Amino acid sequence: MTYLAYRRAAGLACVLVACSARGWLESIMFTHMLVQLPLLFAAGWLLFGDVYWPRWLAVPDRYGLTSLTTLLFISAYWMIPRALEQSLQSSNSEIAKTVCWILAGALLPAALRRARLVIQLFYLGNFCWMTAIAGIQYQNMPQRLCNAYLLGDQSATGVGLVVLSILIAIAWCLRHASALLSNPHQSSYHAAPGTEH
Amino acid sequence: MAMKTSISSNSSTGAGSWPTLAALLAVCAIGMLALYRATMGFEVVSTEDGRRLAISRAPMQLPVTAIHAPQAAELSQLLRDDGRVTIMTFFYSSCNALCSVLGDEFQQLQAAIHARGLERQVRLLSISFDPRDDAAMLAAYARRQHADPSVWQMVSIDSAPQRKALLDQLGIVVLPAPLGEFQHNAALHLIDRHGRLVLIDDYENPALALEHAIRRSGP
Repeated sequence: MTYLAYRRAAGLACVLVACSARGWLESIMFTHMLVQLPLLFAAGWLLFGDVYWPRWLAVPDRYGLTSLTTLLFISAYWMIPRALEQSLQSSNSEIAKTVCWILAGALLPAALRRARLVIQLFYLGNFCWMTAIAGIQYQNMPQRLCNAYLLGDQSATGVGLVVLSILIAIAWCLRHASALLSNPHQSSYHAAPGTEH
Repeated sequence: MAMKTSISSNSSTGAGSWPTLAALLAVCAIGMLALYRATMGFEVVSTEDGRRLAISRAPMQLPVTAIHAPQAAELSQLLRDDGRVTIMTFFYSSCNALCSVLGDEFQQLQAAIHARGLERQVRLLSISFDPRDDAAMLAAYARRQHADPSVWQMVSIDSAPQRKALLDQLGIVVLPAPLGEFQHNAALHLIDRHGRLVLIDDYENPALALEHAIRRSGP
């Protein structure tokens, strides 16, 4: 099998696990937010992240601004406990959730290629700040935010969100360590990261 | 990778900023609309607060539910025919955690109703969601709580589908918790004299629920 075949197979496996183990993953808040949603995101990335889209699609997404803003809205929406719980009761909401997170995974790679480091940092900062605050809120709430999940589960999810936001920030810094540490007057600091390759 | 690099440079130097600006505005508009709907107009984030806000905006008629009670065979009939405002809650009699608290709150409410002479205006109703709670279990619970049957009644629902329908319509979620307990979104449900659910108050604030009930019991 080629790399591409492995990649597509892995993407399909992510969708299959996220959808077929739905009942089990969604019975616990932690696995709902921190396993199922990331699996759907990974599926979008693996299945569509490297597709060569027609050039005109990039026109309304200068510097990746539109894609990255969409990603922020998707992550903000599904961090609202009421929205998350609606996906347990309504199939429309469940479908919307699946489509949103596959779309998020599909959008991010191209958006990162278009966005300069400063723009990436702006959106990364927003995402990490929002996720960490939500995680802290989940831990501090004396009452349950979702009626379908226990308080201990909510608190564990909160810890998971804070850890996730830290890990993503670290991963981004490691990925761009060379550009960040290099002389800021050299071109690689200002150029889109795609041009480094 | 070379192909993709050329996309990124094209997108930065090509058709100008207007398409991106328009797309950004559209994304922000759709995103804000979605957030507005999910939070019921930026007012709630939790499901329970959403449930309470929805009821306060639009009172709800309860579904037909057969019950075990000497006064009536059906729940909405029991609530409607009494002529008093009802403070209603859900419980299970073997509960050691929250329901014991709820029991205590209801004892306080019962005492307040007696002390203020409100017996003709407000009454209390506890509905069990536990199929194990039969008439004998409820009677034992009522004795433990020193419930005065003229003010505080306890009922159970025999039919499992009707029990589920009632809980679903009200948005009560009962979760099995460790040690054979249940966790559920406990609250004080205010039912007006026409048998409609009009307000949901926090179970930690029975005094406020009583004030709301008195206000509703007026002419």
